[in-house]
Amino acid sequence: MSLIRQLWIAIAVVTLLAFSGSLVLGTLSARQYLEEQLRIKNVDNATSLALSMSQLPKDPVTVDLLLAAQFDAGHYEYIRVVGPDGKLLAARESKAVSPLAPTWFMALAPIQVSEGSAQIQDGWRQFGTLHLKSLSSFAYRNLWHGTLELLAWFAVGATLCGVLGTALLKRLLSPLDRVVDHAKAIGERRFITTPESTTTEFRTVVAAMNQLSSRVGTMLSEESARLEALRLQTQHDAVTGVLNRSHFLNIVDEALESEQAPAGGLLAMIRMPDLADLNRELGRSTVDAMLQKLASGLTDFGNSQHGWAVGRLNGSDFAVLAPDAGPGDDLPLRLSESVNLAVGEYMRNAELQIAIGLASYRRGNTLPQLLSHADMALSKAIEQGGHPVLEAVNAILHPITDLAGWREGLCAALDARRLTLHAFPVLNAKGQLLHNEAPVRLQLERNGEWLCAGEFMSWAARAGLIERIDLVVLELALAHMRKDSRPLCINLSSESMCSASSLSAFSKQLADLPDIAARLWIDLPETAAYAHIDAFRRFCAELKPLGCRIGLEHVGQRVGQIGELSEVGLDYLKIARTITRGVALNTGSQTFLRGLATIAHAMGMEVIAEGVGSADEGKLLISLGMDGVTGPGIS
Amino acid sequence: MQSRQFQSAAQNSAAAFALSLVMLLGGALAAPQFDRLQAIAASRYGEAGSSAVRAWRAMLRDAETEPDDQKLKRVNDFFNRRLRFIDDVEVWGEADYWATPLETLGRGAGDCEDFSIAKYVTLKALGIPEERMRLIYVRAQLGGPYSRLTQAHMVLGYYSTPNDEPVVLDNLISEIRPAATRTDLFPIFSFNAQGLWVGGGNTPAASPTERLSRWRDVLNRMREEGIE
Repeated sequence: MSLIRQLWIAIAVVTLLAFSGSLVLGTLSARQYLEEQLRIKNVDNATSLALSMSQLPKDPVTVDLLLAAQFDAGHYEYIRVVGPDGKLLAARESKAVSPLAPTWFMALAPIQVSEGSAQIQDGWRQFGTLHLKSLSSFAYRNLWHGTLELLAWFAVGATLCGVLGTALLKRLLSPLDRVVDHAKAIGERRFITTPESTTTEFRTVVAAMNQLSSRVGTMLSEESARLEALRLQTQHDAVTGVLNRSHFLNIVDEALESEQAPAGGLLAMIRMPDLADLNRELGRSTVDAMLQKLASGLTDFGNSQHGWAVGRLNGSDFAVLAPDAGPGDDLPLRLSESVNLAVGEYMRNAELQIAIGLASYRRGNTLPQLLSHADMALSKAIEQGGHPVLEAVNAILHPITDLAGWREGLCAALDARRLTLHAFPVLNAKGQLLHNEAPVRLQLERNGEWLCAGEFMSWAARAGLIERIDLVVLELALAHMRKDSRPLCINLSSESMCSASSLSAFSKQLADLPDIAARLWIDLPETAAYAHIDAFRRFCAELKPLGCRIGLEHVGQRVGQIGELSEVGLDYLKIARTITRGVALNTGSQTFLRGLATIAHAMGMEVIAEGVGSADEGKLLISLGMDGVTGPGIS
Repeated sequence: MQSRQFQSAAQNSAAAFALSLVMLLGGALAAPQFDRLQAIAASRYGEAGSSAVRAWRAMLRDAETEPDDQKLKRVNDFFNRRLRFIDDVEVWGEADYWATPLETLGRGAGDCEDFSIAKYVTLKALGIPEERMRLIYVRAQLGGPYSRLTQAHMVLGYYSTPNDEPVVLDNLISEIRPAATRTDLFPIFSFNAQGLWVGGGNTPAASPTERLSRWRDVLNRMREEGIE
């Protein structure tokens, strides 16, 4: 039972006791007063009538007249004159008067008044004794009315008490609501802090919970910093800080396979002359400085575009992956300029030759294929000396290449609802279905090719159509889930997450369908969560209460900041394929995943591995602490 | 005639037993009550008061076994001899103060109603039924049958039978005489303590309105002093 209800009952009981007590006491004291007054009236009237009779002749007519006069003019139950020998000399009795109060009330609070009596003297002789009793029905009426009046006051008072009590309670307990919310948040492993209440008792509780939250927050940030260090160590090159070979190749591999990656792009390889010669010529420290300058120049270049990656393949080879870049771009030229800017001085001084070879790719190419094309371009560049060479063998040849064309195509597809959801199972540790992940596919033309998200999403983003696509995705998902009782997972974009109108549209749709919302999982990109942390919090705060689960996908690059999510109460993380790939051979990755799973579990999140290539890999990942697996090897 | 109080008391066997027990012990006053009365008298009125109460006690003891007419005479004489007839204003500083027997004995003085009350209470203590006694307001003609000097006065009347005329216990004429021979007195109104304690009146001290009547007031004060 809630505290408010208990306090309400307490108030009701106290009020009832107080008022019923005063009702009973009031009635009793009124009754006592009335009895007293009636008794005095009886005695005094008896005395005065007896006194009158003592003075007057005692013939029966006079006595009877006196009696009648007193009786008829007054309010008496009876008046009797009894002689000294007990004989009744004269009497008047009233007929039964209709009661002026309910009989049950008269039985409950009876007014008992003794009669008044006095002696009548006839000279020295006793004439008799006068007995009289007043009517008590008027007293009953007064008592009854008084009780009714008190009852009315009781009702008014109780109502007033109730209203005031409610207002007061609400005021007093308003800090409690916040305390309860805080405790609930911690129960859901959202480690939030709230301002301390002014009420002493609540302040202590809130302070304790805040302390807990901050301690957990500290612990999480320490752990995630440790994890970040581990990630740097396993994924990055020690000298230059760019990605190391194995991780970079994982990323390239992912770009070649993933549905959500753009359909094609460029891989650039940058080769320095033989490092052994350089070391001899310039000294190792100079060479290291040069490598670092080149790496930072390439990193700056790579960071200019979302999704690009820079790696060091071996001692003298660097590489840049530029998904979404086409053969027509001026990328080779800009890359060359960046390289010149970074290490131009060394190139002039040492007559240093840096060769740049580029190869285009499309989804579905294999990694060795792409690497050999890039090598070929590099060889040509070395032969030709200086200028970048592009091998455009696998360049993607899309019918539409301009934004206007894409916008037209996308709008047509949206209008005609030429979108569909595919489904890939995500299984838990026992091999049961956690949910079906449903990436969207789109048909630009009727009966045309179904395009993967990666192929049209970047164009949709440029055309400002992403929010519309996401809304259609939700509609499709809801329609599907009406027929299919299994949980479904949709991918929403950073744009929708940040858009207030999209958010309200989502919550409006989900609010009406609580049982479907309970089965809906929503993936958001890891990068979006950290880039727009406030919008992300709003999104979670709005949709999570409706029952759906929210998690991050492609997690891996920002684990150092995972502590920042401790207040949000995320449900799950999906670990990027670039980390899980080849985990069996990479003990660093294993350690990293184990640590990540531990932190995520501490924050109340499940961890799901993406891109699992085989059942054995899935088993290994489960043994590392993953709660679910998905990928080509999982079905 | 029997009063309602008497009837109800007779119906109540326990009360009747208690009443007869008190009467067997000789009047309504037991030894401890007397000790208390004496202590009060001593503290309030000194040795004179104490000795007056002692004498009263001795008189009660002596009269206990006597026939009713002897009791009347002894009580009448006791108070008429012992008390001075002085106006209330002089004794109490009030125009009309009804004193309890203890107060009257303690001061050794009183006016007509103090005499009558003291006699009434003492006779009641000696077992004379209340229905035979009346405190009677009389108009007293002073200075012989032709005198025009009259005074408001109070006497105690004793009715040996309900329908007869009473004998009068007075302090103007010390002798107990039949009412018919007291041509100097003209009765106006009479009362006794019967009927006062019926019903809810059994605990008179609880009700502040009791104080409003002089008669009840003095009865209450007597109770407080220990005289029933």
